[in-house]
Amino acid sequence: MLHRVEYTVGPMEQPLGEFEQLVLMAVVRLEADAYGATIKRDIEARTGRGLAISAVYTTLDRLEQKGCVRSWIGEPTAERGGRRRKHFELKPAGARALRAAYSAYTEMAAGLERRLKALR
Amino acid sequence: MTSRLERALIRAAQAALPRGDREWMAGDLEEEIVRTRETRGRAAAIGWLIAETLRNLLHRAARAMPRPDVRGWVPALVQDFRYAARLLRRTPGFTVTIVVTLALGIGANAIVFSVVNGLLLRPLPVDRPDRLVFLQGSGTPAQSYPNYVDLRDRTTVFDGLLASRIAPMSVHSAGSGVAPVRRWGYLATGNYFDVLGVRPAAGRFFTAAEDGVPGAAPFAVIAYDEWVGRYGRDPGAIGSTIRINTFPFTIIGVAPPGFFGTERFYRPAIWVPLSMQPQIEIGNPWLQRRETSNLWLVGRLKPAVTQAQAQASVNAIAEQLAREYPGPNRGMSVMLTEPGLLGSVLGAPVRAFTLGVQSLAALVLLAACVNLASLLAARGADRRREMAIRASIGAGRARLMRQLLTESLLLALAGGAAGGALAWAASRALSAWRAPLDLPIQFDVHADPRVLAFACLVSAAAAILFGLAPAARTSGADPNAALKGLSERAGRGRWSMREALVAVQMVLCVVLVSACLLSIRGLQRAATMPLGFEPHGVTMGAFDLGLAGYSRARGEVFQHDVADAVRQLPGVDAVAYSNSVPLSLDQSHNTVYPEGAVSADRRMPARSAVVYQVSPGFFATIGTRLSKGRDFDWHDAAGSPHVAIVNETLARILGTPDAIGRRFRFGAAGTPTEVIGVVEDAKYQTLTEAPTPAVFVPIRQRYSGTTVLSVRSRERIDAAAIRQAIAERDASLPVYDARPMTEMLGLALFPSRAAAVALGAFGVLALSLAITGVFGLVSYAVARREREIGIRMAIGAGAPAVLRLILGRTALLMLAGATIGAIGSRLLAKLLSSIVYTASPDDPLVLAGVAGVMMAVGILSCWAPAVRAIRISPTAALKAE
Repeated sequence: MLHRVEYTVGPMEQPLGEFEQLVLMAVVRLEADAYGATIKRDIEARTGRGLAISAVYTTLDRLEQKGCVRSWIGEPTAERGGRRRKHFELKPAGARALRAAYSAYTEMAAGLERRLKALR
Repeated sequence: MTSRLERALIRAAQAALPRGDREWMAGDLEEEIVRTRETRGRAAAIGWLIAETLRNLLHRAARAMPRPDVRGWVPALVQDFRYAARLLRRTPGFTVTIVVTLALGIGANAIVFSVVNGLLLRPLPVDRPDRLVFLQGSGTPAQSYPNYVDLRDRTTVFDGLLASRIAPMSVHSAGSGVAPVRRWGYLATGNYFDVLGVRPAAGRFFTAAEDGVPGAAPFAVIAYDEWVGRYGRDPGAIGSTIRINTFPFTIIGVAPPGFFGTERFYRPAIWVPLSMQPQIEIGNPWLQRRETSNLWLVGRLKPAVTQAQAQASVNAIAEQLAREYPGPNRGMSVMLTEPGLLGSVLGAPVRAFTLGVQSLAALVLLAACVNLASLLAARGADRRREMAIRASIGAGRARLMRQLLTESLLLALAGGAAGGALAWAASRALSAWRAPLDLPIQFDVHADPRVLAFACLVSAAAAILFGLAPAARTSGADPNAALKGLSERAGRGRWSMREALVAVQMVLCVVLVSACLLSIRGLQRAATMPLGFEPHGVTMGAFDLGLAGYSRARGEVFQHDVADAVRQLPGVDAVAYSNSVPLSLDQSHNTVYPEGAVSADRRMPARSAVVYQVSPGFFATIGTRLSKGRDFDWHDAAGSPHVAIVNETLARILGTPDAIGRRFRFGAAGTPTEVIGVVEDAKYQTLTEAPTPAVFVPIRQRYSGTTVLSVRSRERIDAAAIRQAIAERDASLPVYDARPMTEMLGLALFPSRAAAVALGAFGVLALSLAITGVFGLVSYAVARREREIGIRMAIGAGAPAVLRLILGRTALLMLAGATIGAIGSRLLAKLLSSIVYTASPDDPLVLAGVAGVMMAVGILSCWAPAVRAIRISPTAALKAE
């Protein structure tokens, strides 16, 4: 054979859902302090939505399976009755996906800021 | 900080969290509940925690669900069914073959099951039938009335013990202007309806208190069908007076619809208290006789009593009774059996027979399923490319299996529906059928939900049986090899299971087809066989003077008058009467002791003979040839020396050179009777019987009130004319069996007809089995060896060589099967000839028929695949590479 090509097909990069984007952005903002309760609070505070914490867990679980975030269990903490936290941080695939989502969003929104604000 | 209540709630909520994640999730919950309390208050915080716990549970449940949810699954199934239907429509021959085979197989099973259901499984139409037992005597199923009374009074294990007996009655609705009719009913003890626990549809039932003094309870309960049919559901029928055997009875009630008592085969029209026995069976009062076992006993077990306890108690009483009445009750025993078919008297043979037929039917279906499996496998081989393509574009094996199983399920559904319809129609016809008898024998075997469920179950089982293996094989094919056109290795050398099975099917087919042809030819011959009398041109009418209350003197005058009157009818050649005629259901026997013939051990050689009481002119009327001596005349009457005419078989036993003048007695102590004539032998009870001794005695000498009038006429006369002649003399006398004598022969021919129909049905089944079996085998061979055949043709093999390749083994199989089958059918013919009137297995028409059928099977089953093999184009077969 003179020419041989091998493909390495990774997990298909699917576009992120809206809530997935919100969760990923919260993870980025919270950095080392990103865990279930803080992520929920951050999204609630900024979007004004009421959230079920289990919905956040489900989404984080899915993002982890897609390779967008990784998690680890932290040290025991006094303020939580000695209970440990599960921390999350962005992985490269998650960063790529978030960047793609953000650029798609900004490209689509470019030049529309005024009109979008004017929408009721 | 959290309060104690909050901590308790969090602990409870923890249970809803996944074990591995419990700690950090509970931590999050604690943080959140504190924050919620601080911002929105305590109550809101607790509400939030509870809601959050519920949501958590829901999320976990959703995650546990399989990924491809119902919304995707249903359309896929519909798609499968549509695809399967389209595919099956495209190959109508294949589809029809399978559906017909299945319909026959499933239909046969459902029909047999509906009989099993009707005769054995369906409960009796009474209250809690499982608590009823039949008290079966040894030898006869029945018990005598005194023994019944003793059993009833001494036992403590029954809530009630009833006794009943079937009896014909002459029923006349007073003032209705309608002639009396002959009806079969029950004589039943007063507690009969109580013990069975049925409620009247109208009026009331008679009671134990009323059934005491003989003759004091002239009450009748009529069957529901009788009430509808004869009284048009008239409530006024209750309380009206009817005459039974000329005695007035009052109709007091109507039995509920569908109620027929305790015996499944008998359809009574009327129930009368047992104390009325002397009025119902005139001239034969037996209620006080311990020797006369005429009653069927059914008991209802007390709630806490087991069948074993009851049997022990009944055994003890039977032993007592045997001790107390050593004469009539010697060796008395009572066995508790299931009611419905005279205990085990009919029950045991019916059970054995139906079980045998059901297993045969199951075997047939099993064989049919194996055939269908090989047909589907052949088709599967054709579809390997399709499956391979589907597999290589992403269909999983499970998906392919599902597609293939859907196809076989669709086929099974169609076959099951057709088979169910077949069974429904057949079981309705069977239920409506009534034996051509005066006795109302009927079997209710209509298809009920149980039969339907059975058919569905059988269809589903069939689908799995014939669908699974081919589906596994087809869907499991290696797509790579299939796409390249590599076929499976064609098996050579060893005989496969499938091939052996086809040979067995050939055997079955030959045996059943020849049995069917034998019995059909037998039927044909029976229609022309010498019976010893000539039924064509004879019309009959029967009446019972005993039931009508006639004395012997009045009866003899009446018989003579009626015969004279009928003789005056236009076209009548001869008239005679007798107590019975040959080949009717009513045959009496007696023991004949030749006089003077005492053997060395001082015992007289006695012979059992059929006995007829006949009028002068009887032989001329029914067409029996008198070979020696003279016929009776009117002087052979009471007071003159006893005379008899015997048939040739008995004449040979009585002595050579001829029997005229020989004497014999009926019973060791009977009156000496002299033989005055000899007539030709005839068939008396069945068409298949060997020559049987028969004695004819003058009815004027030995009177019988039961009268069968036989009328020979040049042109066919209407049975109604005979009825009319009798009615003119006594309008209240019920006439039965008024019909041409040939019609009565239907009864004698019935076993042969039933056998021909049943064997015909199984023959058709076996044929279709053999055809689909061979067809499947050959098709499969062709499909698997398509490439091989193509290559052979490309290098010069002609059509004959290809056919030899494909059909060689099959032809060998068929030949072997047919040979074994031919041997088997000769054995079966022997067995069959004792049951039905059959042709000889060497009958040329039978032999030719079987040979023709087998050739047809061969051609029909091999034609299509052979043609396909010859038409294989070498280029196309090789292009697949």
